[in-house]
Parts: sequence; structure tokens; C-alpha cells
Amino acid sequence: MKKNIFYTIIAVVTLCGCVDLKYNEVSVRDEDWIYGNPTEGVKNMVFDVYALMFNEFKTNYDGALMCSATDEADYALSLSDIHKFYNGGWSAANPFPETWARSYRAIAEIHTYLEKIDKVNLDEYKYDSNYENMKLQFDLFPYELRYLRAYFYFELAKTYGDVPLVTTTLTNAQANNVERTPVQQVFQYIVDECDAIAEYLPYTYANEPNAEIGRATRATVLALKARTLLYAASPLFNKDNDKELWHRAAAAAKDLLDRAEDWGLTLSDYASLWGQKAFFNSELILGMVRAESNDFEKANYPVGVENGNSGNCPTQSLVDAYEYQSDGQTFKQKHPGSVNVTRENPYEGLDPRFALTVVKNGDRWPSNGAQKITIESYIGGFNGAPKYGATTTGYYLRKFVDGSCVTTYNNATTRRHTWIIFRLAEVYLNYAEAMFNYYGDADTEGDLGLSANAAVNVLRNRADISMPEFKGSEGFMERYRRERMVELAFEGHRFWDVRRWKMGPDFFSGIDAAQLQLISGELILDRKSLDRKWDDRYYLYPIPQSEIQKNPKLTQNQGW
Amino acid sequence: MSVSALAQVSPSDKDIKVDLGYGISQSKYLSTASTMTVTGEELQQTAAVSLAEALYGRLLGLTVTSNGGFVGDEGAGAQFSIRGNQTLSSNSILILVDGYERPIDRLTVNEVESVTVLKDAAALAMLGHEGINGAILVKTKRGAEGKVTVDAGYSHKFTFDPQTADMMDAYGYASALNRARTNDGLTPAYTEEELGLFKSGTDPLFYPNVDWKKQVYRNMGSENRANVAVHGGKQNIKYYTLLDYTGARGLLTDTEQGDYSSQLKYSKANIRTNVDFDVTKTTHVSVDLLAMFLETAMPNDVDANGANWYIYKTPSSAFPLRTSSGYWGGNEAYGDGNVAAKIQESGFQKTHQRQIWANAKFVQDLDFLVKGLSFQGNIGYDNASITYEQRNKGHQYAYEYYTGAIGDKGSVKEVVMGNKEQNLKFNKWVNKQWRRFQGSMGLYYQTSFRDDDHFLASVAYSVKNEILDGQHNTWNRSNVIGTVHYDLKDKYIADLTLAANGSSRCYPETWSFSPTLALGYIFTNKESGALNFGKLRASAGLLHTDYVPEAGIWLSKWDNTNGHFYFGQSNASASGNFIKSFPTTSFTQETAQIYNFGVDLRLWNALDITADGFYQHRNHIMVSANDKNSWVVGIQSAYEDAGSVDSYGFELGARFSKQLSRDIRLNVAGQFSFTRNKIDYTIENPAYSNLATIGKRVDEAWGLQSVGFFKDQADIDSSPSQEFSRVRPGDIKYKDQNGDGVINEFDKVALGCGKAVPSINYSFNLGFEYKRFGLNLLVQGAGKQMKNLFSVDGVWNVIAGNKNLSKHYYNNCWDVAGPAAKYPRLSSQTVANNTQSSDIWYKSVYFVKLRNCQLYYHLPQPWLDKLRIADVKVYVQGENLLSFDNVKAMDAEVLSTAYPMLKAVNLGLSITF
Repeated sequence: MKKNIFYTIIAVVTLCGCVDLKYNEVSVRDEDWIYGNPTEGVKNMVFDVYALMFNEFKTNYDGALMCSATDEADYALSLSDIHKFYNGGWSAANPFPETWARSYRAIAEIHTYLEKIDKVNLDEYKYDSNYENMKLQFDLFPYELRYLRAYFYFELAKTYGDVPLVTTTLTNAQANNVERTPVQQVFQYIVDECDAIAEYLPYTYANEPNAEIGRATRATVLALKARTLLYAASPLFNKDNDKELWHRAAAAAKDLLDRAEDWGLTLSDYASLWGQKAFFNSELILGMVRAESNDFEKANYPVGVENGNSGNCPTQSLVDAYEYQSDGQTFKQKHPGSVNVTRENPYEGLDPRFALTVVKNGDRWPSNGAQKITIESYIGGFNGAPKYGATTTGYYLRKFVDGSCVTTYNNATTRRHTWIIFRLAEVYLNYAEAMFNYYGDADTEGDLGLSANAAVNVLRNRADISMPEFKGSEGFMERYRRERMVELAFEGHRFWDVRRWKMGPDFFSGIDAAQLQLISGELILDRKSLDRKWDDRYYLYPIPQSEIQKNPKLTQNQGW
Repeated sequence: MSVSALAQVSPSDKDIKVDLGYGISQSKYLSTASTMTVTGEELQQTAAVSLAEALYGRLLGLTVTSNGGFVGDEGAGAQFSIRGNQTLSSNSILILVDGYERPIDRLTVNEVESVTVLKDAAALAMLGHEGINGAILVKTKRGAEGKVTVDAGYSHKFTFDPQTADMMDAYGYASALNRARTNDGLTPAYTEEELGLFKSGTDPLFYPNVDWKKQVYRNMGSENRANVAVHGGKQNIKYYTLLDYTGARGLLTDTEQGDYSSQLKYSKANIRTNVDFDVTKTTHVSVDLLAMFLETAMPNDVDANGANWYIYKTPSSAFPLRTSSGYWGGNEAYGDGNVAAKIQESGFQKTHQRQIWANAKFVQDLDFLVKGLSFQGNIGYDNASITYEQRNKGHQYAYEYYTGAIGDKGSVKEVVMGNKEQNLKFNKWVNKQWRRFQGSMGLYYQTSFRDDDHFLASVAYSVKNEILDGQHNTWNRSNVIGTVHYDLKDKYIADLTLAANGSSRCYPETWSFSPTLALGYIFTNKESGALNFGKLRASAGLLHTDYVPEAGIWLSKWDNTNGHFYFGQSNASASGNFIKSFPTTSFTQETAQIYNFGVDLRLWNALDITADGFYQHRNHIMVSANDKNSWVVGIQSAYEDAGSVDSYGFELGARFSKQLSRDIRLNVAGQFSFTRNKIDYTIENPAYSNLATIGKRVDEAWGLQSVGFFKDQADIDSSPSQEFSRVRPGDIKYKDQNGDGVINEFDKVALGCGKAVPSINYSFNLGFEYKRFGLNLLVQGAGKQMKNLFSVDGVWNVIAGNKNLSKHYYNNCWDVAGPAAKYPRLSSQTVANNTQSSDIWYKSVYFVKLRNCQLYYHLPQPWLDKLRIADVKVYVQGENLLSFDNVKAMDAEVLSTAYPMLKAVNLGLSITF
């Protein structure tokens, strides 16, 4: 009996002794794992920084793109933070901190990589048949990351102006003590970095191992440099009106334009800028492609189309900027007041880019057979107010929306969507703007050998556009701004262009929507002002107040 | 149930034992701990579907709140907290059944002997890391020596009256929507002609007026309970076995679909055997087993909470139930939002849950070695899993509209949308599992040094291995505990507990040392006189918890959650790696200093009073340092053990119990408790002093203070600008708290009340027995808890986003109520100015409910003797039949769109053979 008791006690003791207090499951992602697995761990550190780039298909305001904070569009649903950009809901207490937080996170990731580059060791793959290819790739990573650091500093600078320029990993104590570097120094840093790395990068990845198109090329770096110099020369940042900055901007753009064709970069059809194959478009310098989806279509198809939510609706102000192919007059110049659309047919003969960008009343849309209907965007129409969530402007978005995506419950289809970071047309426009501002004349070819007018006309002469050529210098900037708005509509430029021109009051207050009414069977278009507020402090974002709390050396932007 | 059962839990009764875990039980009489026990017999006054639901207002110091929901849904119904919130980290309490950590939401009241709440350090000292926030201890029934007894019972419960807020009818909603759109500067949604059609109801397919509540709920749901228990025993074997079936059917309407039903369903069987063997005179073995089978069902597209939400989502005017051609009603604005279609034609989902609880105890008296020495070993293993079974089906919906003139049936167009799939499709998955191994052993020694004292000492060792769903949910714990108890002359009592608590959860800080000392003094104990018994209790202890904010905090945290990068010809993608946070290099386990002082009194041999005051200082709480480090560093901060919280309060309980005459027995009891907490220190960086959280509650409600509504544009122009959105007349006007001349997030203040737990709780219990009749009532109430009205769609968060509109809001909004308005103007848009958290939406709620009432009758004995039946009791019970609160629109207790708490009447019969 005693023996049994003894055994029982032993058994209980044994069972009880079997837990391990050192047990933990944290065994996957630590530094040893990262550097022990270069092809996954280290390479994906680089990809993570790419993934952080600003891609409006991925990061937006409940479906609203930046265009809806400009005169290009109005967002149909009230539940979106986009409205805070113009309704007074924007403050240092409520600051849109995404650019600040995300850029510094990306920059920290880049520094983590660059400073521990000695830990990257490919030796264990030495006998792998792919070893040479791997080495080629890994040799490029530091340059790509330096490009990305420059890219994120550009995003910070255009958003906040002066920002802390940090080029090494910081401790918390250091980060809480940094000061803002003047914006022109930040721009100069970006330009210097671009100059230092451009020639190390390939002009295309088509011939590189795995053909990993989508990574930064030599053209990407030059495009960033050209855009940076254009911003640096613009009135918002060029406070002393240093003309030489315009010349540098023009030269940088020209450098890329001159080499583009050798690198296979050519202007494409306007319609090829989006859709399934847009990622491989000949004009694209850098784009961010997404997995196949129809989320963007669900967000932007008109209400009344199954699962359509109206989304970003083009304004009448944008439509007013389109010119007629016949005489170069704008919609607004020809139709300044109330328009009888039924009788006057005002959309006839407009710039072909209009029909590719905007869905208007009476269009057959979406283009897929399963859902195609005749759009009624007038008040009381099938796709018009006062239906919940219907367009607030009388128009619906077509650019970037892939009409072949079916959004019905059954038999839905999906497509790839490519967000454009840089494309060739922008470089022509950047060049033209810089040239005109430098010479004060649109026909001067100057030392770079191409006039502002000639650069713009390259775009206007494209086969599927063919608009009347720009001639002379009179009203050039006004025409140029329209051209830039029309060409780059919905690509995320307008928000920043109007700011760098310091023309907020001119463009961002008094934006018009179309009010379409069916009166005795005839469609009447009137302009109706959207409720938008502009304040000069909006030129730059506020530094988030929480950041100033943590680091009193950070000063606040003017007016915030 | 007899009233005498209520009287049992007297602090002076030496027979009542309080089990403090690891086989250590003390007589309540000599206990120095702050505890309270309720017997299973008393809990049977309730018609509760589970043990968890039976505890409202029963135990002093245990706060039971409800988040509504159908009984079949995991996590629905009762939620527990003990003495309010005590920390910035986890406030969850420990629930033990027969000494093992186990859930009680699926346990039946029938199988329970008693439930004890453990509140102070003296009571919790032996429970290790998990017990720091308090514990509930459940004892299941066991057999007693005697003849075989059979208890059988059956009851049927009618559930009814789902309380929802009253919503506007179609005409009212349509008119209000017009008003809202006009307020927003938009065109009205409907013409006068259309409003007229809503009002007259003459064109119901195009201008409908659907009462969606009727499309969701039927009048009556039901619950059924049946059980048979067989128990008894001889000298060396005692047993208790139970077979219990509990079933519930929900309140959804029109759920019979021919070959299946989509009704909310809950069917459960608990099978229990608890057996005690005396293997030898000195060796005792107990083996307990519980097997539980549980099946629930619901419509595939909506669960109970979802179905109820649609009442608040869908206006009466939205669309008809069905179109003229028989499709389900719906439209582009509401999409596939027809709740009747979801209930009736989406198929169904079932969950299948199984739990097995097994434990064994081995006790060996070691008197032959040392007199008074014994050994006890315990082993338990529990295993549970829930699998889902889905049979879903699509449905199409449509809407019709006039392409020509309104009313012209010749020009009707119908748009059909939705899922054509009509066959049931099958799917299944494992939803959840958990398993725990728990074991302990100890040596216990008791002796006396003189004839009026007791000395008890023990040393115990325990282990636990717990595996819950997913990664970072496997924990190992271990405790080594020594206790010493000494009492002298039935007057002086002292308890000392020294515990070493180990856990893998807080690796690398695995061990902590937790001492507790408790003293008691019985200053009077006599039968005669007014004061029959008096005891003072005081305890102080240092306890620890192993809570850490995330797994692996001592490492630099690498993550891959920034999304994918796509590249290459074939759209390959990779998710990145990045360093997310700095490592937390030094910390210690979260620590609680818990103090309790209590007094127990018995007066006139009938009135028992117990009172406790408590204070707790919690520190070494880990808080993120993000609030003090700039984002420029680009990597999230580590945690610092910087947080500390003070909490305090008191509890008061009284019970009067007396046999007034031979036939009449009366029992009256009341409880009251109050708790308060305060952040003593945390990492924060407030821009203005009004934003400082230090000194405020852990669960404080924060918001702007309103100063009425803007009267007109002139009022707006002359007031500080409000930086949320464009304001219009009728929008909320706020107070500039920090004096900076503008109103924004920096003007928020503490609104003076906590959100998580009511800080005032009370209950009142009446028992009355006359001959064979008896009556019991339990009234329970709670107060001083902030609830956010705006979180309730359709009732307070109205119209914008196509939501419904309650009559309550409409009658009290600025447009209708004018100067007496409680709520801002109607708007069809999301107005950020008005959606800010503020004192318009945060309301301190209180409620009082007649939680249970019961009337019963024992059949006369002479009738039963002939049938050889020992006892037959018939009873009728009511649940939540009366309630009072300060929220007009809906039930203040379940202030959400969740499936409401129902009223119920239960008819039952129990027989003992």
C-alpha cells in the first residue's frame, strides 16, 4: 500500500514538472532570421520600402483620392476625411499625419538596411546556379534604397516644407531633438543623391534577372530629380525668385527627354495609361501595380450600377478646362452661362481626353456588356441626385476606372490597376513650365534646344489627341496650367501644383459642379458652386502638434 | 428552493467552508479573507440559461454587466468584473470550477453547489498571476452518503418583448430626410406628391411603409430545460451524476424553410459524473468528468445581433419587402440590405461545440508518518473545440421605379441585382479551440498546540499549460506556495501566504514573489444580546500578474504588415520585412498592493452585516513610450513599466433572516458597492492640461463639453471657430476649454465617469415562505457608468450613411424641439462637428431591474407519500419583467444594436424521488 502511494506521488510530481517557463513562440522574424535568409529576409526589406510608396489605389481616404481635395473632383460620400481638406476640419490637432509618419518609417527602414549592409552575406548560395543573378540584384539594392530615401524626402518636403533631414539611424533621444532643415537644402540633398546614384541603376529591368519590372530605374531617378527641381523653382519654395532654379529644372527634364527613347520610353495613347496592361505601357517611368481587383470600380461606378458608389466625381471646373479641337476655345469660354445640352450638344468636338476622363449624362457606361446602361446623372435621373450617394457634380469618373470590370455579385471580374508615379508626359510639361519661366517666352529654344511650346505640342500632337498647337507666349501660363490639369487629371498632381504656384484662392475656392435638370424633356446645365474653403495656411501641412509636444525644437508652419 | 438556504451564508456559521484553491479551505468563521458565497440552491431562483446568467446582483463585489446577444453566440450575455477596473492592462478576472480555470457560460445552474467571489489579497494569494483582478470559484455538486436520490426537473420558458427603440414610419422618415437634405443645402429627396404617397400608403410597392421589426421578430421565443440527477453513496463511494438538456429558440420570424429552419437555436447537453472513492481509510480519490455537446444555429447572412441591427439600419420607406414580381426588395442605396431575405433565404450556419473537462484528486492522510499530515495531488485536463458548418444560399433582390409619371404602372422598370445561386453550398471550418492541463500537489499539516488553537501549514506546487487559438497564445505557469494559518481561542486569527509565481508569458521576467498577510479578530461571539457576533478582518498583499502587451517584447520586433509590393511580368508580389519596434529591455512584472479592511456582524440572531473597504495600488504596468518619442525616429517605441493606477471603494451587505412563526419565514437582503479608480502615472504628453489623463479614470469617458447648439449664422460668426467641419445652425457648439480661441481635439476633457464598469452596484433580495408557498424577488441596479449614445446606429447616429431614424431622436433634435433640443440638427451627411465624442453623446446611465421573481408551491406530503415521492415543487419564474432607467429610447443596460435582453416567464416542475 505504502508503495502504491509512493508511486502515485512520484507520478504526480513527474506530471507536474513538465512545463517550461522559458517556452516562447517568438522564433520567426528576428534579425538572425532576416540576415540568415537573404533572398527572403533581406530582399523583402527592400520591397517593404517600395510598398510604402504613396499609391492612391492603396492608400486613400475611404475611397477618396487626393483629386477630390482639388478642383478636379468632388467625393460623393460624406463619410470621408477628404472633406477636411476644405471644410475647416483640418488643424494641427487633426493633422493628416500619414506622410510624416510613413516617410520617416520608410527612411528608418532604409537606414537599417544601409547601416547593416555588411551583414548581408550571399556566400551560402555560392554554388547555386542563380548566384550570379542574386549578386547582381543585391548590388543594386543600396542604390534603389537611396533613390527611395530621396523620394520620401521629396514627399516630405512638398508636404511640410522644411523637414528634419535625417541620414542615419537615430535613437529616440536624438529624434526628439532634431531641427527642421530648410526646404531648399532638402531639395538639394535629393538632387545630389539622384546625381550620385542614377548611373548605377539599369534603364530597364526587362534584361535584369527575373525581369522585376516595377523597381526604380535610371529614368526614375532622373524624373525625380526633374520634378524636385521644378518644385524648388516654384513660387511656394523659391521665395527669392531665383531664376537659375528654373534653368536647372529645365536642364534636368531635358536630360531625361534626350535619353528616353534610347531607353524605350515613348509617349503612348492616352487610353493606354490605365487598364490591365498599363504597367507595361511605354510611357510609364515608374508605376505601382496592384493585385487584380474591382474595388476601384465599385468605389467609382455610378450609383445605380450594382455595387457602384459614385466616388470621385469630376467637377464642371475640370470640364470647363477642356478645349474644343476646332478652335482651342475652352468649354467655359464657349458656354459661360446656362447650357441647353439637348440642343447645343456642348460636348461635341471637345479634346478627346475629355471622353476618356469623364462619364457624362447619356454615356453608355460601364463598358462591360453585363452592366452597360445609359447614364442619367441629372437631378431625378436613374444615377442622379437626390439618390443617396449619387454624383454631386453631374459627372462620373472614367479615367483609371476599368470599365471591363464587372461588379455584379455573380460573374464579377477583376483587373490590375497601376498607379502612376512618373510618366513621360509629365517630364515634357515640367520642361515647358521651367523653360517658359526661365526665358519668359514660349518659343525660345535656348541652350537646351527645345522651346516650351514645342514641348507641350509633343503632347498635343499625339495620334489619339491631336489638339491645336500652342503658339506664341500670350497667356501661355494660363493655357499651360489647363493643359497640365487636363493631361495629368486624377494622377495626384493638381493638389500640389496649385500649391507650389501659390494659386490656392484662384483655383480652390469657387469650384463649380454641374447642376443638370431635365426641363420639358430638355437637359439644362447650370453651374453651381461647391462648398469649399481655402485658407493660405493650407499651402503647407501643419506639423502634427503631437510631434511638437515631443520635440519643441520643431517649429510650426505659418498660420497653423 | 427553501428560504432557509438563504440564511446559510452567515459569517458566524462554522460549517460553511470557503475554498481558496489547492485544496485549502477555511471555515468562513475563521476566514480572514474578503469573500462571498451564494449557494446553487439560491441561484435556482433564477430561470437563467447558464450559470453566468444567474449571477446578476447575487454576489457582493462581483459586477455582472450584459452586452446582450443570443445565448448561442460566444461571448454574449454576462460579463464579469470584480471591484471595477484596476489597471491600464488587462482587467479580466479568473474563473475557477472545482479549482481549475474553466468557463462558466455553458455550465448549468443545476450542477452547481456554490459560487464564491474572491476579492482581496488574502483570498487571491494562492491563485497566482491570473487571480490578480479577483476570482470566481465554482463548486459543483457531489454525492453524499445516503440512499439513492433522483432529482428530475423540467421547465419551459417563454421569452418575449425584445426591446428596441421606436423608429419613424415611412412618411415621418421621408419628411425628416427632406428636412435633413435641406439643412445640408441639398435638394429634397421627395416631392410633396411622393410624401403624400408615403402617408396614404396607396402605392406600397413604390412608396412602402415596412415595419422592419415585424420582419425580424416574432412574438415569442422559448427555452426548455430538462434534467435528471442521480446521487447518493455508501461509506466508501459517493457519486453525483447529472444529465441536463438545455434548449433555446430565438425570436426571429418566418424561419421555417421547408427542409430547414434558420431560427436562432441553442441545444446543449451536459453530462456529469462526480465520484468520490475511499480507497483505504486514509486514501481518498475523486474523479470528475463533464462532457458537453452544444449546437447552435443561425441564418447564414445575419447573426442575432446583425438581424437586430437592420431594424436600426433600414428605414420603413427604404424599399418594399418584395417587388411586384416577387423579388426581395432592395435598392442601390441599401444594396442587399433586406433583413427578411437574409433571415429567410440565405441558408444557415451551425456551430458544433464539444467540451470535456476531466479531473482527478488524490488525497493521502499521512498520519502514520506525522500526525496531522496529508498529501493531495490534483490533475485536470480540459479540451474544447468549436467547428462551423455553413450551408449558404444566394438570393436576388430588385427594385422598381417609374420611368414615366408617378403611378403609371405602364412605365415601370425593374432592376435585378444580387446572387443568382439558389442551391445550398456547403462549407466548414474549425473556429476555435482551447485546451488546458492543470496539476498541483501539496503537503498539508494541521495541529494544535493547546486545546483552543489551530495551526495549519501547507506547501504546494502547481503547474498549468494553456493552449488557446493562434500563435502567442500558449502559456506555461507554475506556482510554489506556502501558507501558515493560526487561530487562538476562536478570537485571534492570522494567515500568512508566501507565493512564488512563475510564467512563460512574461518571459524573460519569469518569476515573482508574492507575500500576503491577513489578520482577524473576533471581538464577540455569543448567543444572547443584541450583538451575537463581530469580527474585524484586515489583509495586505503584494500580488503580481504576467500580463505583457505583446509577445516577445524583449526582441526588436520585425513585422511584415505594410502590405505587398507587386512587380514583374507576372505580377509577382512580396510582403516586406521591417523593424517595427525597439526591444523592451527592462521591466518587472505588474504589481498590485492590495489592502482590505472588513467587519462582519450578526445582530439579534437574525441580521448579518458585512462591510469591506479596499484600496489597491497597481504599478509596474507596461505602457508604450510612443507618446514621448517623435515619429522622426521611424521605429515604434519600446514599452516602459511606468504605469500605475490606484483604485478603491467599499462594499456593504446586510441580510435579515428569521422564522417569524411556525409557518412564516422571511428573508431580506441588500447589497451596495462603490468603486473608483484613478491613473496615478502613465506616459503621456498632453498639449494642454485639460488633456492630462493622470488623475483621471482608466476607463474615463473623454469628450468635448457642449454649450448648446448654434442658433443662427450670427451665432456661428461670433463664436470661436470649430475645427472639425463646416458648421451650420443647429450644430453642436462647444466650450473652448484651453482658451486658445479655437475648438478642436485639444478642448476635450474628462467627462467625470468611467465607461467600462458601473461604479455603483446594488441589489435587493426578498424571500418569503408561508407554509408550502414561497416567493422570491431580486431587484438589481447599477449606476454611474458612461455610455456612448452615438455608438447606437439609427437611434442616435441617424440618417447619415442611410441609417434609420428613431422617434426619440426626431422629437428631440434641434429642428423639432427648438430651444429644448437634446441633439443637433438633422443631416443626411456625416457632420464631423457633431460626431465628436462629447457630453451630448456620453451619458451617465443607471437602471434598476426586477431581475428575477419566483412563486413556488410544494405539493402536500400526504399525496406524495402514496407515490413514494419525496418532494414535488411547481414554480413560475419571471425575468426582467420590470425595469426603470434614465434612457428613454431603449434599455440602458444593453445600450447597443445587439440582440436585446428579453423578458421571460418560466414554468417548471421539480421532483425528488
